[in-house]
Amino acid sequence: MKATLRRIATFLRKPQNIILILLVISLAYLVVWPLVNIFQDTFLVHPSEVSRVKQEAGTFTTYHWTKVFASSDSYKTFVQPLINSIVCATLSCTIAILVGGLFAYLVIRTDMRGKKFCSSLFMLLYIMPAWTLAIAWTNFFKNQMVGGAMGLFEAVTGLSTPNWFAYGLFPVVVVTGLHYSPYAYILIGGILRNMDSNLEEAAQILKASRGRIFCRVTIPLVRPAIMSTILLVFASGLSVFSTAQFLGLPVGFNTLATKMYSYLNGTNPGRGYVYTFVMLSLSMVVLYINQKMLGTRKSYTTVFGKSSNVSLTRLRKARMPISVLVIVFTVCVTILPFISFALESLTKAKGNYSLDNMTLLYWIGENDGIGHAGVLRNMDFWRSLKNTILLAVCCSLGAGTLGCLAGYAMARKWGTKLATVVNGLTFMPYLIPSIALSAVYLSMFSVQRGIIPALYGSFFLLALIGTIKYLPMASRSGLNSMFQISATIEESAQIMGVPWYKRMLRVLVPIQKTSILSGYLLPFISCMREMELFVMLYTPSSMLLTTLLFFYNQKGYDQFANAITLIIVIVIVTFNALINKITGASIDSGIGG
Amino acid sequence: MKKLRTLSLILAVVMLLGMLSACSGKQPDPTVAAETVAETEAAAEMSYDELVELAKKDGKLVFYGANSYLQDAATNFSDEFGIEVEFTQLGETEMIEKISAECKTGAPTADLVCAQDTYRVNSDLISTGYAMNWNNSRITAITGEEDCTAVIWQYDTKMFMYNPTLVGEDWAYNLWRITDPEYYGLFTFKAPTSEGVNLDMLTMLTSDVYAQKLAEAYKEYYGKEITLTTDNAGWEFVKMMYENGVLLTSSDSTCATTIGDVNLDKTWMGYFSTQRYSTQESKGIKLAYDYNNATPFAGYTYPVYAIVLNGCQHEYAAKLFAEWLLSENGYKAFETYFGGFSANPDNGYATPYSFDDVKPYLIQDDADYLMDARVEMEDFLDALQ
Repeated sequence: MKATLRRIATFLRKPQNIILILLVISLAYLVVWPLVNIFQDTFLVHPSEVSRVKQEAGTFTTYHWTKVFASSDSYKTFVQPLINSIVCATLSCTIAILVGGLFAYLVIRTDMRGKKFCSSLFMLLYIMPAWTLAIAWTNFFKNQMVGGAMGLFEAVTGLSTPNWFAYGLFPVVVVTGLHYSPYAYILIGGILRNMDSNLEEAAQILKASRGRIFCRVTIPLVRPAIMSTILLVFASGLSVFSTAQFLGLPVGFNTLATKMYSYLNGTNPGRGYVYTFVMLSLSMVVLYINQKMLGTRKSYTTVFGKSSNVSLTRLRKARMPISVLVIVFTVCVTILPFISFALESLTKAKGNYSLDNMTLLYWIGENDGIGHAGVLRNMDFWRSLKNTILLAVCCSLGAGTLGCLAGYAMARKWGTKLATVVNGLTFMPYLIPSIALSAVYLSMFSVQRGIIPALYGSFFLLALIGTIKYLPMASRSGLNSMFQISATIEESAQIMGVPWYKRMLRVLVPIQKTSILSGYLLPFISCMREMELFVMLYTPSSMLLTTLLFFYNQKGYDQFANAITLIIVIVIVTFNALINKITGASIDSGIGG
Repeated sequence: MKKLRTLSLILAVVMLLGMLSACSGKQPDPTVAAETVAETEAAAEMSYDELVELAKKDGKLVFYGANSYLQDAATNFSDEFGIEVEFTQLGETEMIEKISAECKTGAPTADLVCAQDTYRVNSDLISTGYAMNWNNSRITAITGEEDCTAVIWQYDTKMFMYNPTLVGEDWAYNLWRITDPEYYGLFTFKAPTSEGVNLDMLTMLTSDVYAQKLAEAYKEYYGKEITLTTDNAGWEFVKMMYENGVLLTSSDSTCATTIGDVNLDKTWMGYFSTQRYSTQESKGIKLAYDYNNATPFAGYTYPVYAIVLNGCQHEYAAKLFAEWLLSENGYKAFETYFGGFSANPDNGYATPYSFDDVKPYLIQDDADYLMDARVEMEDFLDALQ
């Protein structure tokens, strides 16, 4: 007994052990317990379902499962959205890898011109929320057949886009794929940058053709990065909500997430929880497959050793045309959306882009005719802006600090069961679709449970869910940075009697300052542009810019919606640039580690 | 084995935490509602001045609503009584969700909600005990309703409209035109999943009275008896409308701009808030509707309720606001709201016709029928989309 107590005391004397234990307990409650909770919710009659299920609220029922899987409309309401989600995820992955991979190859391994310009601009695709691209797509390509007023493309060319091009699967896939292509760029680019080109040159000496070298040498080397991108993009593509909501609704294109949202917001939340459960299960399957394919993964990025020699492929005559093509493409997908937001927010009558139809009414006007002041005179806007920045700071501090501590503890105890469990738990929120996590938290925290008070309506709940959702990014960043510091450095300080917090603040953190700050930057930027995670949890007093935009969009106040979108994107880009300038932290080092 | 042990460890921690929270979500005590009834019955005898006095003591009112005009009403209320008012405009469906979640905590942030989806007001707010049951004889004298759980202070309307640019006036003479293959893909309305009152309207179409009227109108339009593949002409109308390429949008404003574009080469029809008719000039669009010349109906009218919430922080300010909305001053903000009519017939309105003039041509709510049939309509639409 004494020996056991002594062992426990020795175990608890190490800060990394305490951190790991605390993380296991808190993440079990905040990540694993919600999954149990949601499963329970799929078997309960909720208050708004009493007249539907014909049972008392709170009683047991299999109604929701039967409705989803064994009713006459199961195909239309479940199978079709499921197929749409899987197709969407698969095609988005393909586009992200093709665009991001090709971009990475051109920027890193060729002598293309304008690399720095293109590279910085390309990151805007990730910084901008996916739904802003969806709004930009609508601004450009909407047609009169679906949606009345023509888009910019039709106004300029006189050509009307077909429905499949303007709405539905095609734009959803393109927009999602483009949004995630910077992931592929960073991950694949990281390997291409560090890959020893001697391997390719050796193959060249052995008279292998360019195609053969690319397929048999380059591709196998970047395979881990491709797999990581697939994991990231497929999991995100499966839960695509806002993009599908904006671009799919007019033609009845539904994904699991949009269906789930409509049930949760309607009179059959139990059915929505079944969808949530299915989406979570799918994400877990993706993780399992990924682990099987990659073997024993240490993290979702795999970067080989530092290259000893990086030689650039000469594009020769193709150099100029390819450079121009890449620059035009990058400008089109990053700068043009800004122009469209600005233009749309200035038009009085939609679809008319003549000068006499331009107005500042939606920016500084007193009343738009139905009681709304221009964005800059609207108190809701300023309150939302304040809330958004405050929330982003809270989530960044929460996730960044937790991620750093988790990274430290895991690195120090790497290979132990406890570290493995924490590693899995910190990554799990990435796989839980935002909208699903939001639904679970709504269910969990709307009533007092034991010692945990009802948190719904509080700003704290938003900060909490944001911290948990962005923990995977921050913990990966923290883990990577801590892995790079030899334990002997900390041990030296320990021998000198330096207490743990001083070792962290005076030794470890300063050494990996930039890398750790990147772990704070990612949650900050992600939170600033987050919509799905908060759309069900915000209350009017905690309205955010993105939820305000969602409201304007749902109400059809397009000019206001475009003005807010433009502001959101400008705010995010400005903050990103500022933080980058001041601290040296960057999004790409956050993702790529 | 090691994995099993790790899994057991996680499960044990989860179970422990679960036991702590003990699946014992504290729901608001239903007896609170009953107590409040008794308490507020006494308050029902309270004079207007006494109510104002108590409301001023509350000092603040927080309320949600779907109509932007409520912001002006909030300002007027604040000016008149010196009570601080915090109003937030939300989408109807989202608002009911948020209110339900707030009430579930037992301490809602909002004191009052102005909602219009009769079914969800009944199923989500009244049946659950979230809406306060109270009485006020002054309100009863105006509305005729005995209790004030959901005070009807306004009747709003939505109309079937069209773009008159190509076809002139009196074009939408029969509703079945929407289902005519000649006009395939030329009808739009806000997705019922995002607009409860649209679901209510579609549900009401399937009631015996309106289904019968639709059957007669079908014969008039197509020149033959309707062949049913569903229960009645109401369900058949909805089915045919969806099969004829209906365009579902996210808002009434989008519907209005969709059909009202003056450059369209085909005539669209839409179903949306009558209020949009009055904004056509500022939006550069053309809209028309024939309220007394459409078969069998020109549109739909639905009550807008003021609901005081149980457990709210500013109960008397909320009650005063609900009563005040029926007064001349209270409704002033809505006198320019085209298509809305105060539940107090003495108040003004923006349309060239009164509520009594237009009511016979409109589909009207029947709360009992909605409670019976709306779920069926939701599932029916779910399978059609």
